[in-house]
Amino acid sequence: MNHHRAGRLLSAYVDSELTAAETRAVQEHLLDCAACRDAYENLRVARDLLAGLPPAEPPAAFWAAIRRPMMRPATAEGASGGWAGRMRAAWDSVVRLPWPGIAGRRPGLVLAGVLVALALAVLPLVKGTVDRLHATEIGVDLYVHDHAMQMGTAPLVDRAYVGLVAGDAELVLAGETPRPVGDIVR
Amino acid sequence: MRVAAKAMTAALVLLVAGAAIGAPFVPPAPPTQAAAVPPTPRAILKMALEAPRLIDYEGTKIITALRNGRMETVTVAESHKRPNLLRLEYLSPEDVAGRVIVDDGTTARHYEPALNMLFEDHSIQDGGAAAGLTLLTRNYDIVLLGTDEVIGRQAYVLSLTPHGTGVQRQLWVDRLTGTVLRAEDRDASRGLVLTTYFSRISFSLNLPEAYFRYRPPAGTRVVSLQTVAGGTQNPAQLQRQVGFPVLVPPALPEGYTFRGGAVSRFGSLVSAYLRYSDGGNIISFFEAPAGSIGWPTTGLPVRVQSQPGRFIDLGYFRVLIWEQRGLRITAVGTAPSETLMLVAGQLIAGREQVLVADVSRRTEADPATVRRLRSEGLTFPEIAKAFAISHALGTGIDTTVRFVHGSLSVTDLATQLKMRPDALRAAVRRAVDTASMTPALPASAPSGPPAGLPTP
Amino acid sequence: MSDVAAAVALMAPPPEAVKAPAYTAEELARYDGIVQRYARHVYNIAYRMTGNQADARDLSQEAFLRVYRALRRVQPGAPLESWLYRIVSNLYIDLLRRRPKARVESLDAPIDTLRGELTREFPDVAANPEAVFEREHIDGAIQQALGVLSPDLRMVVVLSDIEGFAYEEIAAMLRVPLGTVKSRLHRARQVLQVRLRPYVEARRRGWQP
Repeated sequence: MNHHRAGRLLSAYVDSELTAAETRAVQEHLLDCAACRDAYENLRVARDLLAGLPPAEPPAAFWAAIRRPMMRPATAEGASGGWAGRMRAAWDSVVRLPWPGIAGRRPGLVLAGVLVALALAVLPLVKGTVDRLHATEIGVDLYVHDHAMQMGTAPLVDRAYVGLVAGDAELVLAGETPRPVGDIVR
Repeated sequence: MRVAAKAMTAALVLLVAGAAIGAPFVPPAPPTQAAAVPPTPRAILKMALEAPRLIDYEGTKIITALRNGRMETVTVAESHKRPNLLRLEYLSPEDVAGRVIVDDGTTARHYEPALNMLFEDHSIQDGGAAAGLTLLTRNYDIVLLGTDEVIGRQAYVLSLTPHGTGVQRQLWVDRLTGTVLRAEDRDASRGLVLTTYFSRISFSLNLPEAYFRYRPPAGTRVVSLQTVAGGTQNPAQLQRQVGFPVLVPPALPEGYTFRGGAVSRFGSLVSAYLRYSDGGNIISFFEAPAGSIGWPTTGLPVRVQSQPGRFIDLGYFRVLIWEQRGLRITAVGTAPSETLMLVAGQLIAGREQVLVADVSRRTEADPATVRRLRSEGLTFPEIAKAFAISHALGTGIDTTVRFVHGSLSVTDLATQLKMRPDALRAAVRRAVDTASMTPALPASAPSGPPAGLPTP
Repeated sequence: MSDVAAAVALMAPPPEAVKAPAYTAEELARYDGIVQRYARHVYNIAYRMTGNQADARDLSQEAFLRVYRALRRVQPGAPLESWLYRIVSNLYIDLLRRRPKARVESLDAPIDTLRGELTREFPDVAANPEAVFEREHIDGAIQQALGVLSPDLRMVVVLSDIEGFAYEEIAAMLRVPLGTVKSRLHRARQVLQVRLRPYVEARRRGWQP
């Protein structure tokens, strides 16, 4: 494989998106070509830099807004151009709160004042699908759940207790608040 | 606790003395006869395991469990219809009240009314109870302590004490039906960790099946949480499936053996699961690529072989978490913390090749076979024990491994070898004792008895 | 309803008078599930595309409004990445067209023309070499570097390097051939590498954030 072609394939090589034959050819070229090795390393590091970006954190008001999107009102069409303007008009017409000092501010902030308690940590599962980012937020509960379920394979383990433990773990896995610690009995 | 009448005491003493592994099976006395001689502990155990297949019951159960340093009391209405329909309705405390679990032997449906959510999971009832009995009787002293009265009913009191580390269990088994009316679990380091008992129970033969079906209200969110399926794969098979190395613990406390593995899936999180059991207690290992799962914020930071780890005491369960070679390993079980630390230390020390060479040399075994047995989940002490027995009895290594695993009972192997069971037992004991069994342990671990970890 | 038809129906500008559909609790729960599954990603993509919180929020809200209106046409449990992220991409292009002045410079020129700017150092880094080691600094630099790309190039980088999709998936999402994804990514990376050179070099010398 000539140097020029290898250079053009390096980007796809970094993503492991070449065919087996292309991959081998690029690898062989890399063995001989210091310049391409350097370029490859730069590509890889640059990609890592991007991959290392933390996810952008939406403001609290964002959740409130998308949870129950407001429909366009029958009347007012936002005079200010663009869909953003239309959205703002829609918010303004729906949200009528007599709070002073927030006129002209973005309507999302108004809602933030109203819906303070929206839990950002709720991660419900729908039909068994899980947001793939959230697996990193699951702590030990998944394994406690699995272990409790496996306890059923040992004879004479109390089923009601297994149901209690596994049930508690399922709540946490679904993103709900875990049960508080029990009261002292003795 | 009232002890049985004098005539029975003598018989009891004899029975206790003989209540060792594989005592000859005596069928339980039929309920209608007044038994002059109480059944053997093993027979009572069998009775307790058979009971769900034979009777229906409905009762109120009180559970007291150690949870986060406190004893928590939970009340549950428990109903069972033979052979394997189960309904649990939790009544108190407030935060669990209304939880309903309905289990048909295949699927468990768990409904939380406050959240309007229904979780679907695998059944919480064991599929084949008899499977574990061999291991249980091998690793536990099963003693009949006598009879006692529980809620106006006569019950046998059985004590199961592990030879090694594990949970000490006491069971009150209803004389008439074999139902466990009361149970107490004790842990070596903390004493009582779990008690369950029925405050009332009635045995009827006609609970309607509809009672064991649950229809959630409209608008319920249904969540399918079947994370771990089956559990019959060995580490080598798991490794091929998950695509990352699956490490096998080099040593575990006496009596624990690999009982199967599975892949655990939760969304994009894939973990390899290894289950070790001594017949009555389970220690689980979960392995996933480091970074695919977060560190919990609760628990105690610890050092395992100078690597950072985390220890969490959940009460009945204990959890130890650490990382090595790009893997996150989580051990869960009811075991002393020192035991979990020792096991983790063995894994982290990473002396697999050294130990393979060592055990091969000591037992005059082929290293390739030792490596194969390792990939099937056996610990080094188990491998050493298997080879010693195999040499002594002339049995093939795979048959011996099945015997060591508990898949082959003393009686069955004895029949195969045309020996008497006690002769076989003696031969096995001799082979295990005389062979030098201890694989080289890391310098930091205290030396202990052969073929297992020292009992703290 | 076919995917194409559904997409077409949704991309059309919304009618003037729309009554809020009366959704059942189950349907609302389904919508909630979609929100929880995709909202963070949608916002992340929108943020990396637009470069600021306000626009990202507007864009995301509009995207979810479309989902909300079309809920009954969405198959439960179906993967919505392609559809949703395509909406985000098109909404962003829409946004650019409506703005009197482009907020970001589009730079979709062959690498040769860029050479004039290649040697320009970031003033911050030149004045403050330690800055290259700071997390916030590098995040800002990356965002700025992304801003230099045309929306087409930026979208593939965001989907590939930030969201982690494979080329085939991106090709399906953006309805472009696989070769286009490859070449866009190749060009985008050339630009990014130049812009992020101090950080790449620092990283290669052993710095870990």
